[in-house]
Amino acid sequence: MRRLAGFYILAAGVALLPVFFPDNYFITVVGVTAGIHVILAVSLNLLMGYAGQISLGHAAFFGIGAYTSAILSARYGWNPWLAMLTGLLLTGVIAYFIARPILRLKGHYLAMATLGFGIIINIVLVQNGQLTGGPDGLGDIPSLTIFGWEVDSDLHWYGVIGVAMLAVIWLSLNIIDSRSGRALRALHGSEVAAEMMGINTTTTKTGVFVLAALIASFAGSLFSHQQGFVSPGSFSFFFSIELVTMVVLGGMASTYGAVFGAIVLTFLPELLVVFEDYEVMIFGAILMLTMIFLPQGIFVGLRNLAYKLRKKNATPDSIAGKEQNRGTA
Amino acid sequence: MALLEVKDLTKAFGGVTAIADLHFKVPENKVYSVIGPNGAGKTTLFNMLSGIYHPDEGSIRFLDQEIIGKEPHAVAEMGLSRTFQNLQMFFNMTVLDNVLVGCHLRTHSGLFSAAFRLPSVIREERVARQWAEEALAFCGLEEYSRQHADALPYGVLKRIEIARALAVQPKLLLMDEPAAGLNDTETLEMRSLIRRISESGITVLLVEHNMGLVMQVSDRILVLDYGSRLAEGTPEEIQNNPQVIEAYLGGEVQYAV
Repeated sequence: MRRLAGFYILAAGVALLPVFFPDNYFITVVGVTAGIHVILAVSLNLLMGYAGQISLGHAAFFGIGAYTSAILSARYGWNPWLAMLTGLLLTGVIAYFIARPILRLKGHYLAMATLGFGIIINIVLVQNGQLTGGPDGLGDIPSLTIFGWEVDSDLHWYGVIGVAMLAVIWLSLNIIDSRSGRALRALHGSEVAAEMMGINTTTTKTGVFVLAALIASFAGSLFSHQQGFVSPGSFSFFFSIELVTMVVLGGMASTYGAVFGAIVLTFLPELLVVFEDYEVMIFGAILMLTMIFLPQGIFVGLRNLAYKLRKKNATPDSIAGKEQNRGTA
Repeated sequence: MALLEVKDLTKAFGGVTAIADLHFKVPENKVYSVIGPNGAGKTTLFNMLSGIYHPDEGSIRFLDQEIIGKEPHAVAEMGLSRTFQNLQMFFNMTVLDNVLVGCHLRTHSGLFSAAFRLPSVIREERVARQWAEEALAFCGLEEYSRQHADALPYGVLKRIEIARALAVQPKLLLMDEPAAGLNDTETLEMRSLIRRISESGITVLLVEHNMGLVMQVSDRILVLDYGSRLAEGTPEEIQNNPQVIEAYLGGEVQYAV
């Protein structure tokens, strides 16, 4: 129960918000986008935050999922669920085959290679006009139907994305706090020591890369059906960078940090609209100030600060329990 | 029977021969030490034994199986574990989690069952936690269990590395300079820890510069000089070996035995 306390609070928040604010643009429209961003950031955080393998091409897998769903359901009339499954399969195969050569690289070189992959996928989306609609995108994508119930309003989509997002967060929290999750974190801590403890670092890296890609593909399929329209711009290099920023801004190696980062980076531009021309400047300044003053990320930085303050007024025992949670969530 | 048998082992980096034609046997249930001046090839030897480097020539047989060509994780699976001269902690984890990583090979739940936190995972976690706590207690580290590794003093980290390696339940434990950087009290604790590890049935292969410690805990000692075998024998034989005194100890022999 205590292990997932943060998760239950989050789930309650997601469930209650539309009760108090039905038909609020920020909840049912921006909120849905935020939910998709949360799924993507949590998946990237598994790869980047926990396993320490940077990717500047995560948007590519989001795009593969979105376009597979879009093409199969809009052009060929497939059932959206079958299209989604095909997208997952395709993503899994592609991710598996590029993972081995790419994950031999480290640091800047890995960043470059994933960046290149992201750009290639984006070019494929733009150039194959007959299939993808080219730069103009692809429309008329049908909505999802769940056991005969059609998801046809903003509020419905809020529910679907909300459940999907909570499921992904729950899976991520479970994985991190397990044998597999420890193997990921060990990989980040010291690759050679991880090997000496019997962890096959090559298969572990491949595994987490494929898993993160699959989750991104799932988010892409949802995005496709929710928007009803896709275009290559949504899956560009810039979006990959934005995803990395979400993870770093919230705090690396923290699932809640990724959730926080994704929500902040989705809502902030919306809220800054009132500043009109200065919007982008203020946005950039906020990012810079965060990294200067809270280099561990907003969420993780503030949480550690709270622990420090509490440590001063608490008994050693109660801190010990908190310390335990600090590493995993 | 020899637990570990090294034959004709050679490794060169570019033009520099780090290990030349080395042979030795580590008997079971003993503490076997490798000494030699800095640059004698001790860490290179350890890296070959654990599968991190691949030698140019020779054979390394562990439990009558060839190690050469195996990846470190496969060597670990055979029952060989090690600590590192320059700490290789998982600083991003708690002490308990560090040692739980050591239980990796003794547990089996995969990604899928972990993601859905099936009952089998919860059961296994409970057992693994118990194992990890036992390893921590063996090294006298219970009090640090829930702390973060990045906030602990060097001497404690050295022992956490040992606890983590013990959690693997190895048959052979390679210890790379466990007493380096420790103060006198900590060195004494390390001595008793090495003895207890040996008494628990684990064969220890030790690289160490603290001669007092080496002479006290070792059953046999191998002396390396420029990557070659200079001498081998019991601590007493080594202390009285004129070649060793000449080449390594520089004529002045004073042990704090």
